[in-house]
Amino acid sequence: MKKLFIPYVIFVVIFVLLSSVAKTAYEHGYLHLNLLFYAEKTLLGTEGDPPRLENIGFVYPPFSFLPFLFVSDYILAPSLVSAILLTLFILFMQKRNQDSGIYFLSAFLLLNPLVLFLSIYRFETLLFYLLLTFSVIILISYLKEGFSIYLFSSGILFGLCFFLDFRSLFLIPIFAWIIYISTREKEVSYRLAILIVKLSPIIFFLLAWLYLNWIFTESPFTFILSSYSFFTYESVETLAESRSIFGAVKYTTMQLIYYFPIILPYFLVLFNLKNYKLLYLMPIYMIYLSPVILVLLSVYFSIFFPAYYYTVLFLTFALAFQVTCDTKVPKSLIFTLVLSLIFSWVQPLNSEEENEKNFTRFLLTGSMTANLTEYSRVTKILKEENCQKILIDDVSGFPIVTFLEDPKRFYLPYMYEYNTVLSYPKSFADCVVVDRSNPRDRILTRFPSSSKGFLKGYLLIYEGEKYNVFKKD
Amino acid sequence: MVGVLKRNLRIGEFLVSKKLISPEQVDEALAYQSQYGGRLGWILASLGYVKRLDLFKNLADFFEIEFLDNLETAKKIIDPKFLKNFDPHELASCEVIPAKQTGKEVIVLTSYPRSRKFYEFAERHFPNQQLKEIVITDLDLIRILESFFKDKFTDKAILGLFYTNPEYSASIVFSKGQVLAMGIFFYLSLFLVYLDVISYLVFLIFVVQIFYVSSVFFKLVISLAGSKSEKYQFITSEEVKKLCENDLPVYTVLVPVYKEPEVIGILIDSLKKIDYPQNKLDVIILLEEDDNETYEAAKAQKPPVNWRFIIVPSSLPKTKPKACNYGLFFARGKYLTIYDAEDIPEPDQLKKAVIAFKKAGKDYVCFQSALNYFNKDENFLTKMFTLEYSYWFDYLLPGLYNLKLPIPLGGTSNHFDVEKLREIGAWDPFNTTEDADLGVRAFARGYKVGVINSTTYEEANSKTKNWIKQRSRWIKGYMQTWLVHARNSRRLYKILGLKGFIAFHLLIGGTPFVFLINPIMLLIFIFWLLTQTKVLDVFFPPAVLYISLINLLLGNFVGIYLNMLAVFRRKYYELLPYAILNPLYWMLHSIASYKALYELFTKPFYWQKTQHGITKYKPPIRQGV
Repeated sequence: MKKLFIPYVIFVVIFVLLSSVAKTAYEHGYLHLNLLFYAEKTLLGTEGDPPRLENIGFVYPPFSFLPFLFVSDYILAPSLVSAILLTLFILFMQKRNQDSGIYFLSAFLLLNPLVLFLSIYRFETLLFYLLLTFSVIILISYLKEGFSIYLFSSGILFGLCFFLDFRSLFLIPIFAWIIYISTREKEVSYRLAILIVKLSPIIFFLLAWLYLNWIFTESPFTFILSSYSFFTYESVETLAESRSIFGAVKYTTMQLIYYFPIILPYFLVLFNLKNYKLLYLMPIYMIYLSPVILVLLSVYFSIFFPAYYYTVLFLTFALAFQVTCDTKVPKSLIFTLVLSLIFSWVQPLNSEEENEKNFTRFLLTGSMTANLTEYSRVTKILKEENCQKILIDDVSGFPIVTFLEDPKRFYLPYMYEYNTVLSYPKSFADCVVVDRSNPRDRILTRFPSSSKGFLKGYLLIYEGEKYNVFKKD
Repeated sequence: MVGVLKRNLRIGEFLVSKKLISPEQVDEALAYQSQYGGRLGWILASLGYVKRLDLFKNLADFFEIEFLDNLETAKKIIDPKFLKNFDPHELASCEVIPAKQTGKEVIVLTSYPRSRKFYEFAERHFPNQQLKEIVITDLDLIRILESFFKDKFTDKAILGLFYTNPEYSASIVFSKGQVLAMGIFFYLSLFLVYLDVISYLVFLIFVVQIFYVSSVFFKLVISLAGSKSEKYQFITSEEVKKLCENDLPVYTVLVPVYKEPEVIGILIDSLKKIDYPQNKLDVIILLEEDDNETYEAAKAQKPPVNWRFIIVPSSLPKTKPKACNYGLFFARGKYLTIYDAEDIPEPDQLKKAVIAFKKAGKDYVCFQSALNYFNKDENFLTKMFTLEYSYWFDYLLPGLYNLKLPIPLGGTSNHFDVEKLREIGAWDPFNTTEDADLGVRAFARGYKVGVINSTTYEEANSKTKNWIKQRSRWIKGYMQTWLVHARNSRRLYKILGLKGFIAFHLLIGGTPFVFLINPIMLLIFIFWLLTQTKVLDVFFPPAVLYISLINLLLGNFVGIYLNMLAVFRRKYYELLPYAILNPLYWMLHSIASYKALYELFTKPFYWQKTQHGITKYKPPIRQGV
């Protein structure tokens, strides 16, 4: 029992911290829309009409939806998962390194606004970063000690990364190369064996995902080709640099320069790696550069957005490698961590990623740009008007579906009868919600006049900044 | 026991004076004796310097005792009525035959004169009486006992377990309760099919899928627990070196053979090279009455005196465990192991077993060595077989051991404490995997089974038909073992605990069940894949569909991935890619399972003999892992 006490305390502290911040931000009218999206899809999967797995769409990595399957509270679910992850990471650091500097490293994590941001709103990204870090560290343990269970664990963890972020596929060639050069003095059968064990999980999971896409969406490549795909470009700038390796290198270099104050510890640990007496140093450097490679390839394939939260991956790598490779936390690292912490509070205030900018400002000043107001109002109207059957396009209206908590009341695009309802809504829906701001809204497309408040057979009962709500007259 | 001086000579000098051995041979035997202990005469014979007949004859002469070399003459001395008063098992153990009583004198035939066991026997049965010893050879002693007690020996070998613990005997294939349960299940199924066939089938599919998930998860947990054993060696080579060889006990090696003249030489060669004092090895070759060819092949190897050939009387069931039970009567050792004719144990295996028993404590009845194959590279089948065994013995069994779960023993190279083995009723001759059954039974009696880091190399079956025959016997044995121990679930749960109970059902019962079900589920999948029909949708509502998908994708992947683990301990890296072909290999298991199921009902005790000696590979002697 004593053994579990400290982990339990750490977990409780982190969970209370995260959930308090999340709740406070929510009370200020803000929640990252990703969470509402995942919650909505999970709701459709369990309580939709009909409830079925394929309602999640098979476009986004599936692990993002998992916590909401078990915890219906979309504010607490990410905090719970992240608290577990951060607890495990802290325990990992403590187990590897008994130096008292560990406590400082732990505090550094919990005081970093970008870490807090990912923990509360982008837990799937945090989980991806941590799994990738663990996978790499355990691979190094295998190269060092030779126990097969390390290799297998590393392979499984790397495979699981695929279900969190499809871009983990980009790292396959890197790991293959690392294994190749770190085992160059061994026989071919051994090298092939290591390669297969390390990479077969992720390749298998990719094939399984293709198969699931095929049986549930009729095309194995839905998750790539869908207009809502994870792989659609995020930033105009990265789109400009995509498909050009020189452009990608240039852009990545610039990004690293922008990140530099925050990821300074990463470069310091990179420099200190040469002191680590491991048989093959080059593979260690290459593994350590995985975050850079990931950014580079994301830019190349134009699935990169210049957000500061990417620096968290660099920092987890730095911390994990530091505790693995060195018994003592050097003062120089502590100095760079302090600097990193200061800049992680400053730089995101100018971020292009609105959510992290908003969140960082909220932590500093207490003020938040609310993003839920309109959705809350629409939901309130729908409840007050006792709308039993609501026609909506949840491409952008998913928060409303989530807030109402009863997906059976909605006609949504995933349903077989949606097109029929859309053709003649008066026969089916007593309320219609139209998103005027989204040109791809299917109801808007079908009934252009709805943007002006006209829908045959319906009365306009609400006109907000984005939404018009109609009720059958 | 030191030889009594005869005419002021020691036994070695006496034999030299008889010109049977040279002084150099005596010196060698004395050096051997100081290192390993034991009787000098026996050492000389074990080293092959003295023939059996010469040894016993001159031993009698040395002790100034009468010697009989004619079996029939010896039999004539015996009063059958007098002899029947004694327990034949005790007589075999003490190597004594009380022939008759004449007044105050008792005539006793013995092959072990002036031994502690002899005196203890005499003290027990003939206190204060005059004894007249007559020496006979050890083989004659066995033959005499067999001629008078053959039926008793045979009866006990076959029905010993049934008499003492009928609830653990597979002689009853299905208990009354099980027959009743099967009947109820059958009629209930008919009724439910009549009521609502779809719901019933959905329920069955759901139960099967839950079982698959449990089975995969169980194997994953066990394998992870077993992988810890990679980090340390239970018995190190330093411990083996430090072992005081003088204290080594007599070790019995049972070798049950049948129609294996071509491979018996492999084991004989291995046992000659084993790192254990030859004078303390008690090798018993168990032959069947109708197997003269193997007998002649074994004799042609000219084994030394410490090897005995025992002919198991012809009786049903004609199985390996019955032969082992028979051989157990004549075992001299404190410990015992079984080797098959084609086995090549690592030289230090017996010593490791001795150390294991000393280290691990009194709760242990058996230690299982790993089994692996010397012809792993022969073809696809042998590669898959090697992968399977490597995983089973290097990860799964250690995992069961680390988690304190019942361990199903392997076919050979199980090292027993003889006393405890007899106590738990030895092997069930009606079970075709008597080893797996014994492991579970030992656990149920509160004894532990461990694993030792030593390997015996065998011949992997390289022919598919032969493989299926062998595998069907094993799977039939698993079915029998499950049926026996599941007869009384409440008792089983009480004995094994929750963990052991679940492990037993998943491993022993689950293994054949999964192989039986696999083809059905696979056919359904292939049918759907080819036709894309919606007809099956009704049998796979969402919950069932999702679990089925998890099993299809993740379950198969985990099974393959865990099998990849198998190559690392032995560095069989070239085999790793073959792990991907496991689904094909599992299909062979399914074929064998259906054959096993058929035989379970039609000929449950039939021992499908595996043909050995068909490999193209010459067996090497391997070093330790």
